[in-house]
Amino acid sequence: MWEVFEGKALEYDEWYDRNEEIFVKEVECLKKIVPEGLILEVGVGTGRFAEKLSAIGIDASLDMLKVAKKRVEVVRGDANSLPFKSEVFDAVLLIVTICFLENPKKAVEEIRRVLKKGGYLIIGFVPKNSALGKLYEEKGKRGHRFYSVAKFYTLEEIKEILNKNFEIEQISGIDVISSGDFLCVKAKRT
Amino acid sequence: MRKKLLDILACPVCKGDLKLEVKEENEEEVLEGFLICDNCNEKYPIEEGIPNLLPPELRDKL
Repeated sequence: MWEVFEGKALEYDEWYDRNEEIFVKEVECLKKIVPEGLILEVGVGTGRFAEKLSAIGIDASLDMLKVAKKRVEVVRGDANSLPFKSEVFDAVLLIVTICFLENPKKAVEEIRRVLKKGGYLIIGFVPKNSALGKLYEEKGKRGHRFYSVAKFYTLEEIKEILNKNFEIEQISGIDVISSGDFLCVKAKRT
Repeated sequence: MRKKLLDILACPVCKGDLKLEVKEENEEEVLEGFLICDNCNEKYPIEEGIPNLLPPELRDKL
């Protein structure tokens, strides 16, 4: 899946400059729910969110990490086999990443392992049934480079992925083209 | 890669502790070297300051 990002990091990164207003709102939404402490972002990409949220980052794409390294500390690795000791992080972030994971349930189990007891998983995602989610899916069907490999989820499906590993404490959202286009979920490790 | 990161890193496969072998470093970080698993002996490269801790089957696929 992540192979689609190789050689495309700068193109991907430019989105944040072209859509700064949306990015700023997304960061504000996340900042309200990200706790203090040692934070890991899984699927850090070019490091835009990690930089604002003081996280270290992991990603499979070397091309993305070379850009991210200018902003945050990075490690190359796979979400299903995280190269971290157990119970070390206060929070793990999955921001516009869950749609690109091949096996989100397995990744969530690995995230649970590296989280301290009582630590938080923070998910930022575009719901499948939101106006923006529908637009992205449509773009994907027409062959958009990134959205064509993405699998979008509804909030209900995210809850299923979290299963008994996490308990949702808070959900907040922002409007992009209509209400609830980007949701921030704060879930506590059970 | 800052040396401090070693405190939280583990082998992606067996989750064993890693030891650091430095080939090149500056005052801030390790630029080139290896992370070697104490438990399963798998060797992970550090290149341009980025540790490559992909599981070997994914790393070798590339």
